[in-house]
Amino acid sequence: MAAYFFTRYRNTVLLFFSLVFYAWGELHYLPLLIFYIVFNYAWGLLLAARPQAKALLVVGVLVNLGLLLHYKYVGFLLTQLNWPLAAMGAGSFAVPSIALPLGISFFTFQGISYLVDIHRGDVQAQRNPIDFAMYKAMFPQLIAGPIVRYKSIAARVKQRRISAFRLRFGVQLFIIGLGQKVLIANSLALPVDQIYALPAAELTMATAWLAAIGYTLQIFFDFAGYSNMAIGLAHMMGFSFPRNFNRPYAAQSITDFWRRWHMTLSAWFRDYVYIPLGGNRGGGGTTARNLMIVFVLCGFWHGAAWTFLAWGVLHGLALMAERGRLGRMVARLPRPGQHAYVLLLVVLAWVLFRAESLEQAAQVLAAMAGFAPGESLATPLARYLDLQVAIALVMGSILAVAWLPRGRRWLPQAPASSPVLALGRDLAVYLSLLLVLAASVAVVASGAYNPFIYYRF
Amino acid sequence: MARLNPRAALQGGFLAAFCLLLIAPLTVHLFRAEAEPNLENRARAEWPGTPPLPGQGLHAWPARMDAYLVDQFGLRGQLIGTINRQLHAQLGRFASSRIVVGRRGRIYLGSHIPAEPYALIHESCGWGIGPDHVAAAARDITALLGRVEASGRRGDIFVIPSSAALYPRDLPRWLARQCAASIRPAVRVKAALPPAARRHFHDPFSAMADPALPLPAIPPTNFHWSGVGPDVAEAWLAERRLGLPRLLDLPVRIEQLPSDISSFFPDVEVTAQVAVPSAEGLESCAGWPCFPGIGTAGAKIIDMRRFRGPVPGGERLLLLTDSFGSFATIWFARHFSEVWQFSTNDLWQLTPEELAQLRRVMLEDYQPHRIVMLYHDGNIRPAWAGLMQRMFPTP
Repeated sequence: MAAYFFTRYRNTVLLFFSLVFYAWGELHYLPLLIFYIVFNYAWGLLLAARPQAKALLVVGVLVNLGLLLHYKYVGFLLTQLNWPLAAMGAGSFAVPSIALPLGISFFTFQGISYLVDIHRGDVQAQRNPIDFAMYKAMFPQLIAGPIVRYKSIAARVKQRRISAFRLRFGVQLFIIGLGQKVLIANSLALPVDQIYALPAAELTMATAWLAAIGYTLQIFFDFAGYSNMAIGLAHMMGFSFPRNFNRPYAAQSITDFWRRWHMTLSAWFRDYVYIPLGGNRGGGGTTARNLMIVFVLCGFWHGAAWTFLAWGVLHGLALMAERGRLGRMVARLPRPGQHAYVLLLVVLAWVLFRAESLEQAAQVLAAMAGFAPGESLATPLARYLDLQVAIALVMGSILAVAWLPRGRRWLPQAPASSPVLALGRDLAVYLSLLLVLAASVAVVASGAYNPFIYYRF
Repeated sequence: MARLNPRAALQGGFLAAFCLLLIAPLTVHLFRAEAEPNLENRARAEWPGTPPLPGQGLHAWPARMDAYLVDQFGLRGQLIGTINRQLHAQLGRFASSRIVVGRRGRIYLGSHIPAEPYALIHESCGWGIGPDHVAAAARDITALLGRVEASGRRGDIFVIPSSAALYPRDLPRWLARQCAASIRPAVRVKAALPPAARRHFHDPFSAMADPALPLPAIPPTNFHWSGVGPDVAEAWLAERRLGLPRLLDLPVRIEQLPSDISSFFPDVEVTAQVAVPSAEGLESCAGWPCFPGIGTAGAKIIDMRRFRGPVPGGERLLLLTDSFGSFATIWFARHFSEVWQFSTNDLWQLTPEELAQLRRVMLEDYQPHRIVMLYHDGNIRPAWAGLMQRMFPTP
């Protein structure tokens, strides 16, 4: 840490530790990450030299996508191909077993945005290989985002100042993220996993709803927590990463939800897929087509499975419908009705996302709809809903939608009507944060259940 | 001199506290004189050494280093103690999913496996135990008793009901409902045994569940039985089932002792009221040195003891047990002239030579009149049958 703060060679130090960080988790794929770095660096320079050469850009994008396709989708695609081949008695392809490299979806999208932005003239190619490699491998965002485009931090690659304010703000965000992950998401992970592991016959309406609502909160606090930690760490190192979540479960429509959920991914698809396809400029039919393309890709980006595709398609359909009559209907609803509509749809869609297969998703959804016993002696709700889970559910539900009136006033160092009030407020905030940090560290130390959900996407 | 801005100072203090919280474990780890004591009943990950070269195990090194750091980092014990204390004080809970907090102050050991947090309770009260399990247990027990008899000894199986069987109504309501809808496996297994084997299968449930007992047979905060439980169960077995005369009485005093599961939760004080028998007048010895003849097997078995009473002429007893045995052995000295107890929990670690030596000492040197196999009800399972097969192999 000291080496970073007190040296002129911050990028070199950050690159070194980022590569160690990646190797620690996935030494096997370190050469792949280095290939991504070298290729995109070199291709960026080539594109900068020939900005009009569209073919160069296409090749660059295809190489990035090709690697993603190979590591993430080949097994899935061959499995799907084998079904009709088997039905025709035409043999089958051998399906390779390929482990998914950590963070490949994130650093592929990062590479594509870099090349496209150079081609568009939005950003200059980075000529210093160390600086570029540092950007590409920067550890806080390397394996679970947010998706940081080069143009959003280009100005800080060479020069950045780390003020006490920035350091404190980074620490604050890091602690909040850690608390979200460890205290809420992890508490909900265990019952959710246990319920999703039940055979269909043992599901009840109550447990299915608990799993669905629990996962809705778990995935938000897991991913938002990780993003906040990444953004916080970036601030501590002098970078400003883009915000990734803005109270998505407080959205008033699904369109609004996608302005608030995984904002860096939504913006990426908007800028590099939706708008190049024509966006909403070609009339209703074209817009609907473009939306559906984006959400099919968004679904598959999360994983090579039909469940992710179904999740993406459901969201795409909702967005398309909201551009028509449904949107007008929702807009006429009172606020609580709008929230209820969004939450219901989002919760149901997360069932598709979490299930191991479409069959299991259908079983859980059927149980939620009442096609299962309300309660069972074998798997009663109380088995999964203990005090700790109940607290995590209540706290998570409040914090996911809570809105602090004039929130910035609660930030330490914000102006206040009297110095004593300001000091008292700062003290309360700092103590609360330290309490959250201590509790999170203690929970981690006690070996609590601790999976990261988003790290493989 | 510039005036100190109190808000800036507070911000500095916050940052310093953050750094301190992160750096403290590393500092303690690097500069502590010795590692924290191991209270976890398992081997902790060891220092993995410096990273090897690629191709010589470098891939596995980070995971080994992670395991070492997770197990050994500085202040780990204090942090675990803090969370244990706070969870217990604020929520009445324990940091382990294996402990089930019941009603009326009773706690249960739910499982030895985190992935199946209620397995021991279910195995004890019978929920989800199918006819195949019962039939297999009956078959294993019949075969075991046959093998013991073939070796020329009288063998008895003594199945101790654990808390979930004795106190199902104190379980959390949903578990209580499951147990209320179940029949204890001990009852079902006994019914499935052939008559000859049934005579040697003993279930002291009725004696231990007697509401007139001065203290609960199993203290509410204990997993194991202690005091009154083994007292009444042993008397029931020896006098009612085996027809043995009582050779002596043991004086008893009531004490408040640390609960046997408090070792799971450093820094949480859980005690139990226990009737403690006095070994006055008995020649007693515990541990490996009491049985020098068993050689290196002693270092693996660990839990073993011996009592010799003042009244000669009684029978010699060999007790093979799980962890319930150590609490019960002294009570058997009331009905036997000499009692040897060995836990078989770690029998799987013994080499064939060590096992043969142990058997020679236990059976040929000691020449017990009777062998009682004392196990709690959650233990009558295929793994136990496998252990007993090692102890008493098919001739």
